[in-house]
Amino acid sequence: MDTEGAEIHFRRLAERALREVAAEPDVLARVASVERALTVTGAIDAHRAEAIKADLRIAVKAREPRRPSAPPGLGAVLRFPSRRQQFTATSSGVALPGSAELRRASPAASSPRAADRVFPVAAALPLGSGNLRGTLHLLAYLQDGAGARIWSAGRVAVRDQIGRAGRRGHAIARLDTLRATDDEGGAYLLHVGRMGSSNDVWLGEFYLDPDPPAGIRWLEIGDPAVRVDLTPPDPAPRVTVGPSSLAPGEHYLHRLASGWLVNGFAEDVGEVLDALRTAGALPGDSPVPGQLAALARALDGGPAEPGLPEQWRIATAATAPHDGYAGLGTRLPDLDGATITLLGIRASEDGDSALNLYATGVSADEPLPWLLWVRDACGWHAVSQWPRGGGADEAWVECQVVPPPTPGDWLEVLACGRSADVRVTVPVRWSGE
Amino acid sequence: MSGRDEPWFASAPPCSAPVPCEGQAHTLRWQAGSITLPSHQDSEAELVLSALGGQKVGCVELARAWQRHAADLSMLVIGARGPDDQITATLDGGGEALAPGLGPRLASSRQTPDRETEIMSLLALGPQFGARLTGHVAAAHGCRVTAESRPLLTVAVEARLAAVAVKWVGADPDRVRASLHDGAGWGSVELAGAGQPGDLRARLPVTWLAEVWACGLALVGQSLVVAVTVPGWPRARVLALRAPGAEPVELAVQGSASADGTPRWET
Repeated sequence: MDTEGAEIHFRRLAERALREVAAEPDVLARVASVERALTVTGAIDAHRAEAIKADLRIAVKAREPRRPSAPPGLGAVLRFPSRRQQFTATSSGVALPGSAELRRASPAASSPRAADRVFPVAAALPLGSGNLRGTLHLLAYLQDGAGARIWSAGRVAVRDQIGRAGRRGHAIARLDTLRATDDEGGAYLLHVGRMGSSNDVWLGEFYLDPDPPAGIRWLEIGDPAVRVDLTPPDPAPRVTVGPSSLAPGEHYLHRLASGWLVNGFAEDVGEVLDALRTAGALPGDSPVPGQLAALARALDGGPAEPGLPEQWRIATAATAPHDGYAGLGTRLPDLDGATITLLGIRASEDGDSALNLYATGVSADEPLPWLLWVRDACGWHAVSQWPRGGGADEAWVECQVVPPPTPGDWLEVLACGRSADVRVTVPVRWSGE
Repeated sequence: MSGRDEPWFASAPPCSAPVPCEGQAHTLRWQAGSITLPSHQDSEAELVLSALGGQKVGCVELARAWQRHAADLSMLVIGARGPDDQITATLDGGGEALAPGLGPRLASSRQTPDRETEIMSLLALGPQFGARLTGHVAAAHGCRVTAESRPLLTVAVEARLAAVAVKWVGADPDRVRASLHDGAGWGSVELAGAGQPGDLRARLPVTWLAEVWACGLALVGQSLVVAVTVPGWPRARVLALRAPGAEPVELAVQGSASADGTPRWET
């Protein structure tokens, strides 16, 4: 990789944008796509790019026509505006009596540790008390040195319809009163740990207090009790790891393709291709730029073209649209310094389908470091790389899935990192909304 | 590139600017590489007092800011590329982004202005101070280009050469490419490739920014100055190109300066 050439290229692009600042004031938006390409491929260190942009911001400001106020720059988030919805995430519930203890005990404050037990679960917990209405779908059971917890997701409405995050947070915090028993008579309290919400969709974890013994076979939660089978699935999820066959620039172009498939439209990538070539991130004989051009034509209404990578030929439509959840409960091997735990997947007839993940070593302010694809009986589905929610070093997030997944008894997730590809096939059981 | 003991600014005339200070309009002056505060009787003592946390006044704070940024590579990214690159920051207190904190507001405060405010205030001193600050930064880094600084310095030279080349040969600034000349001699400037008259390729040392560009010598008549052989003000000798790819010729040049210190060189 020619990091010096990459930085010079990026700075030249910034110079050109600065020369044309009078005609196009949002200089940072003009350089955003190239910046992303060069930082994601590792051609420019992200901190270095930030420093360059910080200088550029001042340079632009120093040249602004004098007026009371200038429109704020929209910055890099412009690239995926329609899909990056707000997903507010917290590492504990709201400040209620006992919540301080909750925070101390929360695994959010713990160092990541290898999971001893991670597997999917399938149960639906109806919410009908207090001011909450809806169903929480229990998706994944994780038990490791940080304790045992159950990740869940669902559409949860607050009865008073205020719907503000704080009010919903207070309401959900009442779930701290949930109790459970196991098959050996052990009793537990379920505390709300990490959680997040977007519109009426909630994603969060309950952790069990005290930590249960490793061998319990089931839990009964709530009143009336809902039984959660804690027997790992048979067959177990199948995980295979292989080396990545893509150069860094090709990997980035695959990410662009995925984003186009999620958004439904292509963008001009001429500057990005120039930058990747200059940085030595894209082999001269790479077929991917041509494939990307073919995909752009197809998204623009042209005929389907042969020769596209199989994942880019996403399923055209769900054969049986449905609303439902399926637990995935699988932790993937570390990939590029990050760890992903697949929690579950949501299918939605309205198109708002999502893959739920918990990841460490990532920032929710950045696109995911891996490219994710989902496959079911109908074919491949693109997964948004912009997570909704999370924090600086970990994220529990939703990633949009396009088109919606279809019912079936298996699901494959392909995670393409810069160093390796991880493929997971998970047996699934869908539960309806 | 002058190859002698003269500092880079030997060919730069003094410049001055009015600044708000203690409710009055004071003068800040740059001369022979140093900032002076002629409105303050003992400016050295005030600088020391300010550094120790004493009362902050506009002139002194600007002088200290100058010292802090005299080797700051960011100034090459932020500062003007040429006379047509208009910097709009002012010191008149006309808005949050301009130069707050350097007038009365800081007079009773021990707070140090943030970096952006400080840089904007330095830019607001005008293009002549800006050019000389560019010279200081380029001179500070010109003899020790590192892997980290090379991309920035390359584009800093290229951007300023591009602005000059527009006037010199009508070049398209997007088609001017520069790299840093590290060896002996002044480098090269030529048209690249047959049939592409707009592509200008140059190899120039970082010191070109200080000794030539910052001293207002980049374009004398219709010649591009690539090096200074005998620095001085108001008389100097330079190596200049009449056209890309031509052999450089040595010219004797004579300077005059406007009231704000803008140099004008003629053969």
